[in-house]
Amino acid sequence: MNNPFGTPKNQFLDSVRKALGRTKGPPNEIYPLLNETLSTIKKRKEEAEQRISRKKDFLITELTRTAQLVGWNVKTVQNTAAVLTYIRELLNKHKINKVIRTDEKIFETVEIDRELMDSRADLMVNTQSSVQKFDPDTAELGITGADHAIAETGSVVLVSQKGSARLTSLTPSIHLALVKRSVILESLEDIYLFTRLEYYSGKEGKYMTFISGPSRTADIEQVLVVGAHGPKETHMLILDWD
Amino acid sequence: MAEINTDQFPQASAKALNNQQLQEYLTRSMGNFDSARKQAIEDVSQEIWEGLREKARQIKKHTIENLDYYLDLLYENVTRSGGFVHFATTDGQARDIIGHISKNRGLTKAIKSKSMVSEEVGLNKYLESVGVEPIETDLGEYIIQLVDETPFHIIAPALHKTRQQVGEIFAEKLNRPGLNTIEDMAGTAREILRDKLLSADLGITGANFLVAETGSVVLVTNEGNGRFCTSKPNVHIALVGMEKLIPSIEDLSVFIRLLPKAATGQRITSYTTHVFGPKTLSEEDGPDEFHLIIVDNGRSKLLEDPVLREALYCIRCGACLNTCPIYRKVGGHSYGWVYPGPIGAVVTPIMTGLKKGKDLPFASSLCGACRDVCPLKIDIPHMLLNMRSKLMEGTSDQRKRGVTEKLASFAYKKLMINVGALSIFRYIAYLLQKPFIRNGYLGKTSIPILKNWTNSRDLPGIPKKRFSQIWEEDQFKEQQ
Repeated sequence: MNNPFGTPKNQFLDSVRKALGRTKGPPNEIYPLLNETLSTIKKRKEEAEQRISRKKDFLITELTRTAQLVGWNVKTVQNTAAVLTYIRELLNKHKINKVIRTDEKIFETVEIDRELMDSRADLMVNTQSSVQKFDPDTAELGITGADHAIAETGSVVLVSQKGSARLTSLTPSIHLALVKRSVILESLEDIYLFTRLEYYSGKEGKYMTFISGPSRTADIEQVLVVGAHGPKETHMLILDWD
Repeated sequence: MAEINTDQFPQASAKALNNQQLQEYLTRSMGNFDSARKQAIEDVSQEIWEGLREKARQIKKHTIENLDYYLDLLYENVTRSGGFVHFATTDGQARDIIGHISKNRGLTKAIKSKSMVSEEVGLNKYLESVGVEPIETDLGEYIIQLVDETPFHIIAPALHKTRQQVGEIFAEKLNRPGLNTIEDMAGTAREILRDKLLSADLGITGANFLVAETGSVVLVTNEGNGRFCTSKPNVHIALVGMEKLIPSIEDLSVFIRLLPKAATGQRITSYTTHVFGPKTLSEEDGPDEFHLIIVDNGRSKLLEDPVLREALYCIRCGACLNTCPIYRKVGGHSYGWVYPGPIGAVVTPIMTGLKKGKDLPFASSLCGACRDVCPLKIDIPHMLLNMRSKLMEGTSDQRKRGVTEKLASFAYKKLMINVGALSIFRYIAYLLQKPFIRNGYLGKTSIPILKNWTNSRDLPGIPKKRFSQIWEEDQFKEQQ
């Protein structure tokens, strides 16, 4: 969309160039990262994957520690039954009636819908075509998978694409993330390397969020209040069986 | 443009210093961010921290030195993802671009995540004038929007408000009396703003980083309002200063480690959000239109000065404010524009006019604390000295030295090379000062030549004996 009020791109860049006193063209000194070939990036990713898989047990321990530091409730579970027990307890503890979940693949193997029905909680799957059982924004618990988790920072990484609606992890006051063993990465370097490769391989996904605990604010007298506009409580279940 | 009151610094800072309630509160609270930052650095080790700082500085230096190239790359990649990029040379253009988008799409309700550039271009007043309701959704910004004030601090806009004051504001402006605890106040804001977050048709954010390689906008937030602004409304506009750019998405690992620690002492903020354009067709939610507005608004004036250029490395963490002995006493409003504190003393006069902001480069003790805490190692004291010299020896639109000052330096030079003359002058001055001295100091006086100095500083009186006299007497005593 051409906006009549903006400065034309070339004119704007010319003025920046003039201020810098440089001539048009790429930087004089090569920026190593941007001069990598795709195969170099792929190779780095493979090396990272090998490193990560070698130390996966350590990374689970580390993720548990760092996630707790930023406010997640973390539990490692060994089977679907343990996931269902956890959800049942959560529903009872908070007297939750309305649950929303994403439409991700993980729910084909970790079947939680029957458990929710047995618990008499209303469930809505957040898809474009889902039957409107209730206004999705009124859900009290939001359940999502995780595209990745970062052991360094205690973050769950959600990439929104078909089936993983953005608001599922935002509007409910409680968020539960199911983190498969295989998606755990070690560091921020890893997640950005992986994301970079996905970007170049044209994978869909226009939105990536690292979630590191509940929402919070310290805008009044620098006193921390947990639960600002997003969830007040966040739970991470590490599925340690694949 | 936001109102520029930089010429009011002497009066505004004096007023802040005399505001006892503010002073008590600042003394109590200003150290918190600073100690949280120190703790966070200790946790990762000083050595790792220094490595990160150096790396970040190199990345920013390279980007800023080649800014036109990377802006072009950014443009290509945002456009490829289906986003629109607009360039605003002036603040007026930035406002008009947003006005045009709103009008085109018939947008009437804008939820806003904290953006300093939005403050800079005076966006809210403008939006109101074109029939778009601007709603600040960051708690601190929301509070100051209710009372029509400007941010007191880069990352904590309502830092100057005590809980009692916020309680009063909520009672008066929102008709919610009787809120006593901070939890209740935050809860009330959550409840009131939730409807607005869900019903708005326009989301306006700033950006902490722009990634040229992938055309991404990166937001580092805690409250979750930034996620609403980029997920719920149909249109997302990111209004960003052109210096926020970095080349590769892999560079982010350095900056995401630096920013939260330097700002609030957090290991990482609750949310780190990366926008790669409008939503894909198959996605359930997210904006179907994404606009990135890249703003100059005086930044190229910093760019063209080789000494001041590094001010554009700033990632707006606020660490220099938190540590600055001047900011910690005079507060954010005294500086008279959007960016306060040490970094504000550099960028504000350049962006808004050196003549009007001539006092800001002098609002520093040059202690160097700002440079020491800066995650980008920006040499603020050096830049302030550079600006002072520009002001004193600069061109016609800048401040020139007065006749008195010229005479004084002339006399000083003459006296300093003539011991006899200095000795006589010293003795005469010692006799003349007598009626004005209180407790050994020359306090506020009405002596014309000295008035400006003594208004804000106590000048030590000239002692009866010279140093050399005291020295000689001591030597004599020792010999005995």
